[in-house]
This record gives sequence, C-alpha cells and structure tokens, in this order.
Amino acid sequence: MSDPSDAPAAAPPPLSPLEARQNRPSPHWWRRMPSAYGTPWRSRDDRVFAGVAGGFAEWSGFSPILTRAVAAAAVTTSGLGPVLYVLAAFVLPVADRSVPAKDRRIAWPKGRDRERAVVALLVAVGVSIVLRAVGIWFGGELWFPAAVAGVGLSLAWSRTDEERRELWRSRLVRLPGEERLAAESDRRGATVLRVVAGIVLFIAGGAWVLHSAPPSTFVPVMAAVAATACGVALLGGPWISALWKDLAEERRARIRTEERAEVAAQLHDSVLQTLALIQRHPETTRSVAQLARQQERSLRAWLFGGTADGSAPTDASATFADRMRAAAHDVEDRFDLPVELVVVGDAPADGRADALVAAAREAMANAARHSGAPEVSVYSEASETALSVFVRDRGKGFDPDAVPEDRRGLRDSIVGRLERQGGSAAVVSAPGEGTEVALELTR
Amino acid sequence: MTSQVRVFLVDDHGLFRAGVKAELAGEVDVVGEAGDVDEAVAGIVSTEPNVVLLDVHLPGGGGQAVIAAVAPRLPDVAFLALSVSDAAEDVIAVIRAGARGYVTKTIDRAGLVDAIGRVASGDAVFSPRLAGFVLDAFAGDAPVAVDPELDALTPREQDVLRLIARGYTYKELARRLSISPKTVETHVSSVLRKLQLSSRHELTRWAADRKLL
Repeated sequence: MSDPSDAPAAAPPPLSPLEARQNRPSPHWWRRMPSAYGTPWRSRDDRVFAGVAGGFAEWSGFSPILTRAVAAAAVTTSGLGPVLYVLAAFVLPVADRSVPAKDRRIAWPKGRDRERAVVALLVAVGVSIVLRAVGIWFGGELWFPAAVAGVGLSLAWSRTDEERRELWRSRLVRLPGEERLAAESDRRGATVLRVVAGIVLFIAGGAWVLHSAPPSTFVPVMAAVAATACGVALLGGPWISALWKDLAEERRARIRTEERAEVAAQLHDSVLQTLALIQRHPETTRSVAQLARQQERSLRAWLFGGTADGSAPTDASATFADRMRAAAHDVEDRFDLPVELVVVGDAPADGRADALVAAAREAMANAARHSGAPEVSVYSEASETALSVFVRDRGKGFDPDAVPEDRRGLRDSIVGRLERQGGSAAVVSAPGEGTEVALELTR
Repeated sequence: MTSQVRVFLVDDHGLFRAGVKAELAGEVDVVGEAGDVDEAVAGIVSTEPNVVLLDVHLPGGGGQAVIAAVAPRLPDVAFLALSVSDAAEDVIAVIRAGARGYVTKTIDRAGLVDAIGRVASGDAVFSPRLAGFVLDAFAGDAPVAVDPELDALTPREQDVLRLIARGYTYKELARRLSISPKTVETHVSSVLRKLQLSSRHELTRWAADRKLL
C-alpha cells in the first residue's frame, strides 16, 4: 500500500471542469485519473479483448495480471460473467491517454472512504448470509461473478469524486411530493414509478421469504433480517440525514439565487435603463420628471403587486379601481402631468363602470390640457350604492355657462356619456378658482 | 416668526435627509437627524424637538419603534410620518403607534412646512392618500361594534375625509362645508383619535387583506 501523498506531481493532467468546480480537496489519487469521471474506463493500450480488465487495473491500481485472472475466472465460471464483460465493454469509455505504470499504484480508500467500503462489504456479506439462510441463492456458479461485481461496485463508489456522488444521491434520495422546480416535473413520474416498484418488490420479497422459509427457521431469519436492517440504518442513518441537510441547504441557496436574479433583472430592465436615459438627457427637466414618474410607478407596481411593466391589468378580470388607475396613468403619460389618484373601495367593471372611467379619463385630460395646474387630484369611490369620481385641479378655471356650443368634449364625452348610463355629472368651476368635475353613477 | 419649530429628521437615506434639510432651511430649525432607530431615539431624547419627521421604513424596527421608545419619555414630541410607501398597513401602523399625520415624500416644500407647523401646534395632518386609506378602513358596517363611538366615523367626518381625499386643503374644505377651519381641525383630530384607539378589527386586519397599489 502506498501513501497517496507521494503521487508524482510532474505533468498533472489538466483539471477537468468537474474537478475545477470542486472546492473541497479531492483525494490525491484522483489527480492521476486520465478521465474526467470517477467511473472506471477501458484501457487504450493494455488490452486483450476490449481492454476492460486492463482499464480496471489502471483505474484501481491492482496488478493487471491479477485483475485478468479474476476476470477470466468470472467470465468462464458462469453465464453472468460474459454478459457483464460485454456490458462493460459497451458502457465504459476508452481512456483518452495511456496510464504509465508508475501512476498505477494501489491507493486504498482512506478515512471515511475506507469506512464506507468496509461497511459496504459487511452489508454485502450480511445480505448474502441472510439470502443463503432463507434459501434464496444464486446457485453455485453465480456467486463468484456476483461477488466480483459487488466488490467492483463498492470500489467504484468509494473512488468516485464527491461531486458526482452528490449528483447520484440527489437523484436517488427523492421522495414523491418533494418540492421541486417546474422543469423537473417530468422526473416526478419516475419517482412515483420507483416508489411503486419498491413497494411491489418489498411485498413480493416478504411474501417469498414467508413462503420459502420453513416455520422452524422463521424466527431466526426474521431476526437476521431485522439485525441487518438495523445495521444498515445505524451505519447509514447519519450519512443520510447529513445528505438531507446538504440537499435542503442547496435548495435554499438555489432559491436565493433565483430571487436575486429576478430582482437584478427587474432593476436592470427598469431602473438602470431609466437612469441611463436621464444621464443622456439631463437638461430636459420635464422629460426627466416624466421618466422618474413612470419608473416610480412601474417599480411600485412590481414591489406592491400588479404587473411587471407597471401597467394596470387590462383583461376582463380588471376591476373598476384597476381601470381608474390605468386611466390616471394614461393621462399622466400623455400629458406629462402628475395625477394624484386616491381609490376607495372597488367594484366589478361592467359597461356602466367603463363609461364612468371613460368620462373620468376625459375630465382628467381636460384638466391636463386646459387648466394649467401643476397636478390633478382624482378621488374615486365605490360604495354600496354608487360609484363616484371627482376630478379636481387648481388651475385657471372657466365659466361653465360660457363654453361655446361647438366645444363638445365636456358635453358629449362627459355629461352625455354619464347621462346615457343614468348617472350624473356636475362641473364646478369659476375663473381663477380651479375646476372640479363630479361624476356619479348609482349602482 | 418669534421661535422656529425645532425639527428632528429621521430617514435612512442620507441623500433624502440632506434634501429635506436644504428645503426646510430658514423655515424651521433642524436640530438633528438620524438614520436608524437607535440613533433616532438617542438623538430625539437629547435634543427634545417639537416635531420629528419620521420615515415609515427604518432599519431596526421601522418608524413605529421610534415612536414606541420616545413617546412615553417625551409626550410633547409630535411625529409626522413621511413615506414613499403605498402599503396601507405600514402607514396605518405608524399612525396607530401615535404619529400625528402622514404625508408622501413627493410633497412640495410649502406643503411640508405647512404640515410641520400644523403638527407642531397639535393638529393632525392627513394627505389625500391617508384620507383614502382611512375611508376604506372604516367603510361598511362594523360587525361587532365594541365601542360604537370609536368604531365608526360620523357622516361629517366622512365628508371631511372625502374632501381631503379629493384634494381640498383645509381652508377650501372649510369654505365648502361652511364651517370654520378650526372645526375642520377638530374633525380631523377626532378621526385620528379613532384611528389610534378604535378596536375595529378591520383596522388591524384590513390593510393586510387588501392589495393597494
């Protein structure tokens, strides 16, 4: 057994992306691997048939002769051996470089890896003893290749790098109903299938045990099974719980990252763009004010609910209050004038409410066009009995009786519109006093 | 003016404090400023201002934490909440904690000076938006009126609040309702008291249920 720390440092292969991502120290022997992955490979140079045994020798560090002897024995003594060999020849990748003999020193698993390997071995032995006691046995010619495969698997596991294991675990240790991303939803079907298959196997296996065990051996068999299960739980329990914790932490981190990305995207799309626009045209104060207002509204809508672009919803689900907001925003944008909107209560939007909103929009536009006031105040209330909107400005005002006949805006768009719906509109104004348009519609 | 109102500024944005300070220069006496709750409490206790301009959102517990810490020690200090927040629950929370009024940060200079003066003289200051919030909160019948006196607004108070929400100043409002400005103040103060003392469960629950833009 050699100390892995004296592994040759000369000309290490370039780090694989997988390895480069790892931030925990990888075992020294890992650096000697020509392949990026922790699975065994087929040898490029040292081959008799497909290079499986040679590759395994390179990968594990065991003597190629010994490996070949074991492989030959496994292949020849049972029907399973050739199948495994052919399978390995197809599945395993060919190494992308030759592996010098000095790199092939056996590096036994160390520390926790060794513990795991021993545990795996003990479990395997315990399981085979149980199987034998029960009477389920592969038969004389099968045990040897099975043992070889088992040792190979346990070695493969103990020598796989940590990150890859994480990946395997995260695929293996999933329960149905565990929250996951929408993109992974197709995997849920596989999980359900796995659980169902597991239950079926469990029941079938249990029935088989009960059926094949003679009554006299029943108790010791069950005791053996229970002991083995307890052993597995004791040995694997802490590991599984640590794994769960890791997974939960990883999920939290992913959610945080996604939230951050969403905020960043929103800020980029809106705030940064607006700031850039303002920097390019700082001299036109009116457009700067307009930009700032639009930006504020959009950010507010995003922060406190509503749609991402800050516009009120225009679909059928929009309510009276939504449509009032949309109308106010529209007037703000078109006339570049702040509209201070206060909304109390809400009502479903129907044709009559829409007529009220349209009239209110016209009143706001009038105020913006003619009053000269620096802002327009709009109050909209939906009570049990009525919908009312007040549009008020502190502009120059006018004499309502002196409006020329041909000025149709007020008469048609506001008063007429409401009267057709059975509502009423009143205009209170005097020169120098500002204007207030009161619109009311009984429900 | 014989003695200027002494004002303490609390806002976590230094830039905003600087702007308000520059705006108020000459009109009021800014005696101190703070950027978080602890700093604010210490500063207010040591300077004993007439009015505290208080941001609703503050690191360390928000505006209501400042009021809760200062009010028992200095009952004469008046708080005016200043916010960009449209979230009704934030605003209502600060008012219920004891602020004498609420204005938005986009208020102009004259409006702010006027509001500070009124808060300093013991009156309440309602912006149109706050009036809207209050009308909304008191709308409908109180199912279990524990104290009918406190749990509903009188028709007159509703009229006053509606006019405030419609953008009327107190003076315009008084003329419109043919009452004296002093009576308007009385109504608004009474609404403020109801807001702070009412047990209407809508007041505590309503804001959270509602998505106000």
